[in-house]
Amino acid sequence: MIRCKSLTKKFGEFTAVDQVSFDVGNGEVFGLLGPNGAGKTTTMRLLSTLLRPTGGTATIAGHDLLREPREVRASIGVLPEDAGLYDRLTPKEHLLYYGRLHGMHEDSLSKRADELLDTMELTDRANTKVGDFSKGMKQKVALLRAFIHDPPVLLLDEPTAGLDVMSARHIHAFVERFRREGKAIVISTHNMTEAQKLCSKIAIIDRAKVVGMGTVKELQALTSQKDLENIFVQLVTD
Amino acid sequence: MNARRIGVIAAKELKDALRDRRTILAMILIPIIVLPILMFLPVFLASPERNPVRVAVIQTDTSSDDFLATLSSTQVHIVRIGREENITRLVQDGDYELGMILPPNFSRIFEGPDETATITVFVDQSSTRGTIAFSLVQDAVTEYAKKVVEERLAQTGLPPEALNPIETEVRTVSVTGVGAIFLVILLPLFLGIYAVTGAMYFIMDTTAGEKERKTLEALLTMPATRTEIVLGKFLIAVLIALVSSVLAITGMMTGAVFLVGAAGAGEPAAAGIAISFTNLMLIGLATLVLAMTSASIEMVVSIFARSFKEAQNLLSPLTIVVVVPAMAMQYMSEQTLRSLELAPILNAMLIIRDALLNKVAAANLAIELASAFVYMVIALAIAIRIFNSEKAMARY
Repeated sequence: MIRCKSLTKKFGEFTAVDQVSFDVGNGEVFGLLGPNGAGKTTTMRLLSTLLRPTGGTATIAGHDLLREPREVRASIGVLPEDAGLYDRLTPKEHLLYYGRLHGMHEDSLSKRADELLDTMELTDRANTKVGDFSKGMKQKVALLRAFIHDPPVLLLDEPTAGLDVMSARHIHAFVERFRREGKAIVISTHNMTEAQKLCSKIAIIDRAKVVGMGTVKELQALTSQKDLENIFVQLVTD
Repeated sequence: MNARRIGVIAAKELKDALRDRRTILAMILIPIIVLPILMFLPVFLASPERNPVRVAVIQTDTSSDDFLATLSSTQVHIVRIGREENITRLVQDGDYELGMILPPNFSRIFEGPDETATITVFVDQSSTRGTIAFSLVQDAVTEYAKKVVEERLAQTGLPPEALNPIETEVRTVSVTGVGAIFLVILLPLFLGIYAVTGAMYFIMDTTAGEKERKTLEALLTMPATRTEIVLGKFLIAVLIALVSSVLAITGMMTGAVFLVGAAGAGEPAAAGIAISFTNLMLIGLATLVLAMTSASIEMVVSIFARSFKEAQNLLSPLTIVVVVPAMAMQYMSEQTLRSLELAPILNAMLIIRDALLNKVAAANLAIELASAFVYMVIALAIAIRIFNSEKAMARY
């Protein structure tokens, strides 16, 4: 579903993403694990067509990033690092707005928005402006926004950063649901527990490069370490 | 390009803007309520018709009563004070707008052609009401002096016309008075200012503000192209600029009619103005092109900014760019103005002024309109290009 081939992004002399390659299949959750500034968010922005690669490319749902950016955007649901919601709009209005931008029909859109709000237990706040919401509630709305058009691919950048345990569990449950539905999911995180809990495959990124990739078991074999945190530390300090 | 998506973006922008108290304040309340009050309230308050000026008079004897009767009117309230009072201090302290000492034997000026009376006047000319009082006193002096001169002429057997060997007959070729000032100076100025600045807040909020609040990132991951996003936002920016321009003019006219009319300071500014439908359309078209050009320029500048505040710092000087040429227009000869027909902003303002004064010439209009339209297209093309530039958009 996602095929990254030597994806590279340079800003002048600075290389933010260097020759990153990975594949994510249907029903897989792929984790990008790395310290702050390693290049995780830039990789996510490249995959969501916000930035144009300076080298390599990727195909998403069969569409090439460089040649078919609009088709790529129609196939992905993005949860950016910041929820990025309009404070003066309600959750329902957000879902309708982004659904319309995806060309969804009004009748099915409204029905789907109501269903999604219900699954996140937001029905009773559906018509409250999100400016009054907590960070956890905003993150739920942002996740629903990414999912409104039922895309085959989800790109989630730090989906639980700054959330309390209950909100994080809610988000995790939703990611698990997406996985079972056969979506290809990329999660960027620096939370080891989250990566271990959700991801079927992990790429550890440090200073723009992938320094280790595989299932947790494969990474354990690679480093002779059991704990993911130790694996991470060994790979990024090597 | 997908018109439906542009419409979806525009509809959301409008809904969001109408829920923003600051946009409502800038778009509706300031032009229709605050602006007219700020402009016309001082005129209203200073008006002697509504609130007569107070004149303190020190009179040595009753010989000047006749002159005081000439001065006394609904606009002037005369208060006789004693000689021991410090008249300078009373005027300085604002107890009176003007002080006056009338000499003794004032009526002797009727006795012979060489007699002169000197009236001493104390006035604070930095005060508006002080200058109004001074002008009313001067009018009374002129009127009274005329009466004296006529009497002196009668004694010599000369008719009053002997003093006026030449008379000037004025025939105005355009609207005059308060109405003309309103038409030629204030209306193009305020239409220009509001066409340019009316949507400035909205534009900063919807570009730099979206960037700062990180809402732009989510929007850019939608299937809408960046050109569609620019156009959706642009449509609402132009709509807001036009609405605030219309409201500013409505506010000014209402303020002029009610406040100046109520103050009795002259005929209402809008009185006697008849603008043909064609000219009205031309004014609307020029305002529209001006609003579109400035919205594009403001979007270009604002999207470069990392934050709303940075956008505000970059865009604020734009108001001066409109005010200076609009004010300068009043001091330029017709020839100079015609040589500046291709200048941005000035071209649209010239169309507005000519349409208001009903002196539109097809050749001039064609040049002004075509140049204004070309600037608008260039500015919009740059805005679209900037939105498509990764360098500008990724500047967080």
